[in-house]
Amino acid sequence: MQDLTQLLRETAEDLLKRKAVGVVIGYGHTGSRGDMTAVFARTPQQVSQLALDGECYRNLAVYLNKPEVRKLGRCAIVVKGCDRRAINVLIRENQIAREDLHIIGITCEGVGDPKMQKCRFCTVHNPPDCDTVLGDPVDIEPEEGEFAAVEAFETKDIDARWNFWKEKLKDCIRCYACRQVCPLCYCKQCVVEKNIPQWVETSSHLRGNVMWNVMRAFHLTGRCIGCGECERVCPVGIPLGLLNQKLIQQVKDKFEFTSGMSADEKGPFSTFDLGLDTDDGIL
Amino acid sequence: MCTCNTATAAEDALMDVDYVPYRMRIDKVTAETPDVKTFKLVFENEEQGEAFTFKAGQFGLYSIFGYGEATFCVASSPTRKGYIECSIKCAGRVTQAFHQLNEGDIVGFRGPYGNCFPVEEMKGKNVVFVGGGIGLAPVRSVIWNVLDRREEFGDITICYGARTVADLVYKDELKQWDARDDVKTIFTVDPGGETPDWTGQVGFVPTVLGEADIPAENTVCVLCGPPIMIKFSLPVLTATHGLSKENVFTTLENRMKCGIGKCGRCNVGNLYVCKDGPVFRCSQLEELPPEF
Amino acid sequence: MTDPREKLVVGAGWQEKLVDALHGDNVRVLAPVLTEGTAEFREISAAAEMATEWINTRTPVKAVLFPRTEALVEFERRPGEDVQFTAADNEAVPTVVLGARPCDLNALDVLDTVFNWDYRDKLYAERRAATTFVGVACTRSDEACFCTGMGGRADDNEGSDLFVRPMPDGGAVLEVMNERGAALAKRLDGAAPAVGTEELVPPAQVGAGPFDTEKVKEWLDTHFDDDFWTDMSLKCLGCGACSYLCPTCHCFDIVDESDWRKGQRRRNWDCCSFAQFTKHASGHNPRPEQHSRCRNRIMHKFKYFIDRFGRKACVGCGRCIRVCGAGQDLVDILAEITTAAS
Repeated sequence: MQDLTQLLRETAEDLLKRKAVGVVIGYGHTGSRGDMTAVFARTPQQVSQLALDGECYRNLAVYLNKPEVRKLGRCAIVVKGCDRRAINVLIRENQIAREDLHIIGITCEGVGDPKMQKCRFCTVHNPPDCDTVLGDPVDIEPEEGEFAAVEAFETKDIDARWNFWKEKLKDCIRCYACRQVCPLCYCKQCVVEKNIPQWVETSSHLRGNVMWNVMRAFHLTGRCIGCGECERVCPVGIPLGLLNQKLIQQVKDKFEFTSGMSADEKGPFSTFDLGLDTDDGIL
Repeated sequence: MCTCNTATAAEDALMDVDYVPYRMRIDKVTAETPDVKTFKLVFENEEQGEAFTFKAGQFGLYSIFGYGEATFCVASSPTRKGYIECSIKCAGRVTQAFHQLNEGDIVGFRGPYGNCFPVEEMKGKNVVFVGGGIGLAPVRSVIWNVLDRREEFGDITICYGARTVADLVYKDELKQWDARDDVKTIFTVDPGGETPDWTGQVGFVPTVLGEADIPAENTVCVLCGPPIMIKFSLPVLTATHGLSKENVFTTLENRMKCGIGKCGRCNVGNLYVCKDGPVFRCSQLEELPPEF
Repeated sequence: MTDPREKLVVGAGWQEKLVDALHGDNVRVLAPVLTEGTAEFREISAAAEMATEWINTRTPVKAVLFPRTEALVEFERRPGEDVQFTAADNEAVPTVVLGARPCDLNALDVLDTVFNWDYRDKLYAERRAATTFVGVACTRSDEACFCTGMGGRADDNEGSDLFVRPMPDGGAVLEVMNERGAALAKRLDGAAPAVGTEELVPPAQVGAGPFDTEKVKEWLDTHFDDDFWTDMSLKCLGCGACSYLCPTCHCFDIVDESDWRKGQRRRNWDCCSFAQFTKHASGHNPRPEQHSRCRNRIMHKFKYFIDRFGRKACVGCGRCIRVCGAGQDLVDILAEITTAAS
């Protein structure tokens, strides 16, 4: 991967030197522990902080929503295939314009050691519609079905499933790390912060926690691209990916829709076609 | 500043806080402006009411059960016993709910908290009150406090303005103050906010304040209002009228939850607005990080 | 480190005896219990439930005294009647906490200060009075631990009522630190005496060297406005994980929750990293940008709290580093400030 790092630095340096972008958002082994975190290269000198390797598991698309980052100017951003899907959703939901981005796609065989679960059924190893692509095309078959985890979970009966979620959700401390790391949770004021009326209780008792986590999953229905960042950052280990994956499955099943595959798509909840509606409805 | 935060042995029991408010009944609701109402609250428990004291500038947390608590200065004067008043502008969840309440309804009150305007230090001095909009509420507490002990103070000037005539609060009291021989009043509304029968001035508070006749010597000022008014009034007071910033007092309105220096919300630098304020000398504010 | 009032040497089985005795007294016993790869303080009914190998609990011991959510006031509104309200039932349960780490117990000093200076927080104070803390020297650490960087140590007895120095055979040297610790030690009368030598499990080696926090503070004193804050905060996503799990962070919110008739006024953990934390109903926000909020967090721990109360509000437990989803690292931040100050 050393070559790719070099290529990335050259690309970034070129972009910054000719002022095509104000910042290159990428990965780098920053800090004394060497963890792979976000790097914001704003000068040609800073590109030496950038790196690429198998630890690029973060979805950097979240930073495109930060006003502090947008202030730095036009953004170049390093994305894997899954992250690229998040950008498609941001474009389709008018959060960012394609021309305001220089997308540096990296082909990806999967990240993490052991490989993250989302990588085992990934089908976007080669990020589409990028301005620069780094890495050789990847052609590998999924190791497991997209909904293997959901299907395994659903072999349990309803009481067992509910008990499982109660056990998990009671630990939620309402730190909102899931929301803050999510590239698609870009609301300036989250519904949980709206208090006229108070739709969602902010107390971290089971009732408030169920309300919050279910509400968030619902809000991501037809939008979530399954990057798994919410689950990764949850400090108390709530398997939020399982919740989101279930809704992704439902949307695929009922609407034949997979979020983030292109920027031109319309989400199932932002389109309504009377001709396709065969339901009598409630009225 | 004042020493009203220092507990005496008798007050010691009050220093244990369990966040349960006093039970208050709304005795009177006065619509001041289209979006400001004044609530007169009396203690349901008479003993509590008799034991209750506060000083001008102190604040409390007013609450409606089911909606929450909100922070306001006590707008009535400590010299008027047996009740407290607060003037509430309709803005957020709690204040909107307050505006739906009627006489007889029950609300909660925790307080009084915070420091106060140094009324004792003002004795023998000329006092200039400068208020803008709803910012007159904390000033009003000091005004009545001073007027009820009128002989202890020098010249008194009240300079008050609002965006429009309709936005002036305490209209009856403005008349009372205006009618007194021992108080100089300057009332103003922003240009365009006047009505045909408006007899006061037209102009922004800092402008009319600049034209006022205010003694430079032995004068203190109480200044409350929107940040923009404070920003432009302060140089008028210091440069034009020769007051020192040590003698100009104002209140900060940072968000608070506990009111007692615990919840960490209202800090400006190492100060807690709820404990070290809400009353500050303008000279003090200059030393603080600009986070208010 | 403080010299203990008394030392006791007990053999293996002392924890069982202590837990049984406390249950006999109807005292609630909390101890680290392993749950899915992490340890958390849970109520235990037997010493065997207690974790044997753990570095630190996921949630700091502060949660015992200052829970993440608690009712303050109960209220009810019956049709045609005035609202009724009363203090929520928060009677402090007599509790012994076993297996608290020195860093967490060191942090109680910060909480004690905040909740008792001037006004006293009755709920905190009553729980504090009803709780005895048995600290235990760390014999393991991980790469996020940096208590030594904050002037602590893996076997610091400060903040413990009774302090445990484990021996390899399951026995321990118990240090009685105060009256409460002495009362607890009494319940161990007749515990099996130790066998062999009083050789201790060596305390954990913690990597971080001591930070010159005075130097850090000097820099903070004069660098409220600095590009450093913008740079260090770009990464921060503005969640509350670091604060919520910090043993010294103590910000809270007070909210009302109710259905139409009944409800509660509750106190919940809150966090100065949240964008809405200081925002007024008018829309004005004194800390409108992430860098101002990140700065407040660092300033509060290493400057404001020192200015105000004479001690720093960090004990080096490392939780903020472990839980940060963005990879923010307080040790690196302090190192950078130290470098900038030199």
